[in-house]
Amino acid sequence: MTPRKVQEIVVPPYSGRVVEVARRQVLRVVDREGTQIADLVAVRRDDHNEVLDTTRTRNILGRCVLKSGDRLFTNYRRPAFVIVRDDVGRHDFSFAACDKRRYELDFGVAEHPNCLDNLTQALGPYGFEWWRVPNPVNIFQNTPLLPDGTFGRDPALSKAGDCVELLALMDLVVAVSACSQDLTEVNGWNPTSIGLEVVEVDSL
Amino acid sequence: MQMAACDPRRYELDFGATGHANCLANLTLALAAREIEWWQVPNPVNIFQSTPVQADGSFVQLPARSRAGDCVEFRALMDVLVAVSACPQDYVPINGLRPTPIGLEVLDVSTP
Repeated sequence: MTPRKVQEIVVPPYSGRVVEVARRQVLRVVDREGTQIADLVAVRRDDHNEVLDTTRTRNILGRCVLKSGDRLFTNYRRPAFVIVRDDVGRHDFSFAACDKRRYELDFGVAEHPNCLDNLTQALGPYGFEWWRVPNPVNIFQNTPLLPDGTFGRDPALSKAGDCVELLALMDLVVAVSACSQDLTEVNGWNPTSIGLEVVEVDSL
Repeated sequence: MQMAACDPRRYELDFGATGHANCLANLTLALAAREIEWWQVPNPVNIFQSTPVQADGSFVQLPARSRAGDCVEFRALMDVLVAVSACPQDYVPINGLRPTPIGLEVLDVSTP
């Protein structure tokens, strides 16, 4: 059986969207126009206290860089996803989502769109308040840890059409924000949209 | 600041030890009077923990470099509730394979 797309949505620039991904389905996260970060959080569908946990994932992998084939773990140290395709090879899972205060404090901008609000709004139907939104995996974010312990902040390396595919290992609710950062070059000064596709690959 | 607290699953999965003392349980217990559940306990700052990142992005687990009497002082910039766990990790050498106590002192240094 060939892979079958069961859902396809666009996360418009400066916003967030939610999809449910069942165990054995693949979530494809597409940078539709290039140089665009996708902040992704995931929650176990039948127990919202179990969440994709970037800190425990760093501990279990024993590193702070992601590679194709890596599993991403929950706060119960259970694998939630495995990365089955990665067109880019440069992502972040050390940073928090950008939030209102980041834009207020660092740029003097009030009410700037931000990933935490985008993710909170996307998870609204599931009853998540902002302080319960887990720290995200920042797909395509190019902020590598440098030898002196500081982080680089470079434009995403993704080109139009590049994607990451995550095979779900449990039933998940997944929220994705098209990163709204337009005051630094991480999104190439031009936030654009993200594509989400849920693909059925189970032939049994 | 890159590491989670050690938790029951860490000891079960990686060392086959059930019911092992762990930082997450210690912190949750310490915060219990404030009704903070385990999943609400934030990721900790791991003082004295020597698990630096290498050039390839991997972490190494080294014994803490602190000697008897060494300390870190934090000046509070707001009223805070602080919980501290003496890390009970005794399967890897980060605590010298021998977990020992931690001292906490609160000092009033304010002058009018």
